[in-house]
Amino acid sequence: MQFKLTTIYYVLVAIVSIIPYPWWYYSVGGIVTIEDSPFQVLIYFLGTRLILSDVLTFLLTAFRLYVFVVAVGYAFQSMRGNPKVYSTMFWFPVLYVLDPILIYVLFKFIPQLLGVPIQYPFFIWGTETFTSSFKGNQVIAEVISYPTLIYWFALGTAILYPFSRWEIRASRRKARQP
Amino acid sequence: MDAVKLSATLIAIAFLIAFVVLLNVKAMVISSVNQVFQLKDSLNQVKIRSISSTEHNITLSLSNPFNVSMYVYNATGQYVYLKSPIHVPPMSQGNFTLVITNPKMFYELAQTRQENITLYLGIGTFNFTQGVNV
Repeated sequence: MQFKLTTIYYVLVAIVSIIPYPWWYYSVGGIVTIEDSPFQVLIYFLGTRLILSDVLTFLLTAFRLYVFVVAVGYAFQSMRGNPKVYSTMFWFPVLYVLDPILIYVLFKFIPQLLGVPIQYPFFIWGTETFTSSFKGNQVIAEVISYPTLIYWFALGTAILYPFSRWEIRASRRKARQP
Repeated sequence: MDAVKLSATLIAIAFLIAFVVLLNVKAMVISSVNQVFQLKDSLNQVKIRSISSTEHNITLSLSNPFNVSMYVYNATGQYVYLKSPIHVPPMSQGNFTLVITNPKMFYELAQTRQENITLYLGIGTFNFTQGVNV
């Protein structure tokens, strides 16, 4: 086996892509809870699961299959000494911190469509309380946002990516020299 | 595009086609849109009705149409206070009692609908106030 790091990286990517658990968890006062990852979404509104999130999950499952097949295929290819570069699953965990920003936009505009204007605090993770007034009534809610263990695992596998790139580059340099 | 990515793309597309063919996607999308509107309507189904009233207290009922617990923490207003905070389990009703400290003054206000009781309610950990007139 020539490309150990690259092979391990792709095997881990395959494992990450097949884990059916969310990466990030959000809750606004228990009214809206969102559990998501690049491969699945689960949205609860007032304790009821939205069918819309099922439709989205089906579409994302196609993406999950794609990533899984690519990772398994590339793991075999690098085992045989023909490594390939696949950066998607490096960028996803790294850029997933941007996800709270998306959620912020969602929470800012969807309640407005439902006729409930709310002011949502902007933060990446932790617990925040937000207060606002609506039709003269005071509103206080607890907003929770935190990454799950699976997210940290995915981010951990992303650390291997630069090393696998370096391994591939080093072997190519060696091959070029007579 | 190499053979691995090509086969992965084909498998993903096959999955999507199977999803569209085997499950009725159109109906699913329509029902998901309807569900959002139903949930929006259920926001208006939170009802507070008065059940019974004596001279010194008024019993109100709170119906909870959600899958989340609701709470009545407190009530403020002139001449009234909440007897005890209550917890309404999902999809059920709960009764709470307002105690009137000064019936004479209270009913004078109530006749002109100026008693303005403020209820401190909670859905999950989402807390809000609501003004009511009996």
